[in-house]
Amino acid sequence: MTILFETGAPVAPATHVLVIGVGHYRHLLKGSGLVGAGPPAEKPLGLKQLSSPSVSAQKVAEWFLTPHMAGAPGFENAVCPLGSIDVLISAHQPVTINTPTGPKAVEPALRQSIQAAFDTWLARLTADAGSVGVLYFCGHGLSDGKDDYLLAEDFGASKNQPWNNAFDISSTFLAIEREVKGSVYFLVDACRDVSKTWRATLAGNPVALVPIDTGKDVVCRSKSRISAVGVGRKAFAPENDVSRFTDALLTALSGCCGVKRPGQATWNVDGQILAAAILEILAHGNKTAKASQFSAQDISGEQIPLVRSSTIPQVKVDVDLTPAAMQAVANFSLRSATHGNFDHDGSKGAFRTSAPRGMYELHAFPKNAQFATVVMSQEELVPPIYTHTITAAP
Amino acid sequence: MPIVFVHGVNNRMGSEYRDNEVARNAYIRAIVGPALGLQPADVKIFNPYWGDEGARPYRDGASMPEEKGETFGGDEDAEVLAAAQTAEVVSANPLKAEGVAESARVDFAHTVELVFAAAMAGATTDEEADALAELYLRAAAYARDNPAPAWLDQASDGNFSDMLLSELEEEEDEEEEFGPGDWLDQLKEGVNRLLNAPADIATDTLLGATRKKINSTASLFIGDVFTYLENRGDGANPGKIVQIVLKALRDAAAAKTASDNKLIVIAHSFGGEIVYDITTHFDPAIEIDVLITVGSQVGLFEELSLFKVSATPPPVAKVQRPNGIKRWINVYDTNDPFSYVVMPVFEGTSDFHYDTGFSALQAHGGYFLQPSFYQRLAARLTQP
Repeated sequence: MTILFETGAPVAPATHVLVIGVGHYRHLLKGSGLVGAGPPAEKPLGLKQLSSPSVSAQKVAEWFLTPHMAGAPGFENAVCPLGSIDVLISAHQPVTINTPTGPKAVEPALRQSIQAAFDTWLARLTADAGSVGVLYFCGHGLSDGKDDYLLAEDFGASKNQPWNNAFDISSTFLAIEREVKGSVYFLVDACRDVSKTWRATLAGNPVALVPIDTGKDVVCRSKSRISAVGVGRKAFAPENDVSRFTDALLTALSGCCGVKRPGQATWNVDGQILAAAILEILAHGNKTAKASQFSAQDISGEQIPLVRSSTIPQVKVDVDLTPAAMQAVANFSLRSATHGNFDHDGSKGAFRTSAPRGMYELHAFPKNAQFATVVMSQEELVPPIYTHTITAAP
Repeated sequence: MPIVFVHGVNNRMGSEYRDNEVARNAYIRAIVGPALGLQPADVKIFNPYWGDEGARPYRDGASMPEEKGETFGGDEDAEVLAAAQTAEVVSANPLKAEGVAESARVDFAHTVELVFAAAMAGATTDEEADALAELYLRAAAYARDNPAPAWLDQASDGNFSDMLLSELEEEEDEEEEFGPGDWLDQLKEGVNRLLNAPADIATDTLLGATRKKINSTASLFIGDVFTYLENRGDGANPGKIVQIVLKALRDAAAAKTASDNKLIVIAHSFGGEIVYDITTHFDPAIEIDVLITVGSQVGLFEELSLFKVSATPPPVAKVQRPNGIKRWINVYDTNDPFSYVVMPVFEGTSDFHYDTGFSALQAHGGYFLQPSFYQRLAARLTQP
């Protein structure tokens, strides 16, 4: 594993992060000729090389690290500050990440390395009942219809054990509630397609990263599993860029969600709030996407925040006007006594901006009496997105 | 461009009929349609089903000399039917070596053809069949352009489908998926059916299926023909089979538009005789731009003077092609004992031989099982 950050204080409430990204699969399709390629898997399940997971995983790791680098916005939780970040990334080119102690080359995500990193992560997490654990994975995944499996770089190495070097994330999630007293976030950016080939193979399923010890009581205060898609669905990513789910995740975490509970000083992001924000961001993106993608979640327990932000959440505003011909002759304005005014010239296209959460007046008025001015006086901008089409009447 | 498919004798509603129709429609949409200048989604296909008006042995076929006590419980089981159909295809056109990957190393295009025929045998929905037909087109083109791709050296029976499919993916895809591509499972099932076909051929179920099919084909062929001839009626009072097919032809003709103004009719086996009877007696005004008779007996029936319009005494010269039929292509296989040529009997017709590879007892139904048949047909239609 590659430790990007570690406080060195083993027993204290802290946030421990394990980031795994797998884009290079040495035995899967289209891998021949690449550095580190092995013999093709006997049952590659139609899975190919990926370019997005390494980019996505690196972005997630950097987001958690950012406050310790340049003081820029990123992970913020004063109650449970960053304790550690371990990273494993399998890419077609070596991956290096800048850390507070200098650049670090990242180790690949082989199954054995994932197990070792998970064991370390779990040990850190169980050392304090107030800690928060984050396990992020981006790469190939599939489902047997009941349980989900995630694939390490060396998946497909064995002809006789074709599903070796994957792990059962569903059972790992169930196991963790009996191991960790604090709070756990599983953020899984992978497909959950149900493979007939996989299902047709008996007694070959991969195991969990930790077995479910039913002799132990359930002790976890809060656990959230947010998946890029529901069972039977595919997750998508632009090539060589951040995936759709991870982009929504980072957008949500970077100030586009959060709730201020009574008496609290911070805007908090717990599992429910994060999952709802991701789903809404993905749904908004689906309007222009070739194929739709909707996240799924499994959340239970107390509302223990992953992020406690000192700044008010921002709302992405997306307002346009119909009929379309009126758009160019319109001016837009969002007005708030608290947050000021946000103005936009319609000739530059739809009104897209970012504004703090709150109550606003939304105005659309013509430049030269082409339509009647529209005023919407009680518009609540709630993170992550405010989207509306104003109808202009002559 | 409306296309009417008129089936022949021995078709009765059930899984086999439905699955065959689904596969055939998909091949016509994906392969024949574009050859005629249409987008697959714009191809209008009419499938008049007249099997319920055919012969009905009143003791349910008890006179057939079938082994008593034999059960054919798998008749409606889609996988049994798919395996049986694959076994028929493989018996006619075997793999070129043991195993799919090894066969592909010997003859890649031939193996691709078999894999898709076996995969299509299991298709039960239009979506599945359309996708497989579209994939087949890309696979056939890929195999033609790459007769020995380098990846075949490392391919095994287990990963052949995966490797082939990964080569067929369209380059313009802007996004990658964190999971398998579509339709892989269907291709893998096709490979498995091919690998199991030699064993399947020997199973009781399939032997039973074959025996029953031979008996049933011969019996219902005779029965359906007699039933049609007895009940076809005349121009004033057409019989039910004529009514069903005639309605489809008229519906299809009505579906023509200014930009899509041709009517194509594909008639298999006895469907050819029905269409000939209609265009010469029941509704000579109907206009068919291209009639394709496949494995048909129109020439023989005319020689036997069995059509309503057949002249008595028989003519010395060749019979004129019906006025409403602008072009008539006849496809036959010399292995198919029920297929006949038309050129020696009719003026203005063309005969084309297509080798299904099937044995004499299987060839009659074999044309439409092989994707290459549709490619040959499409190529023929584009020629003047």
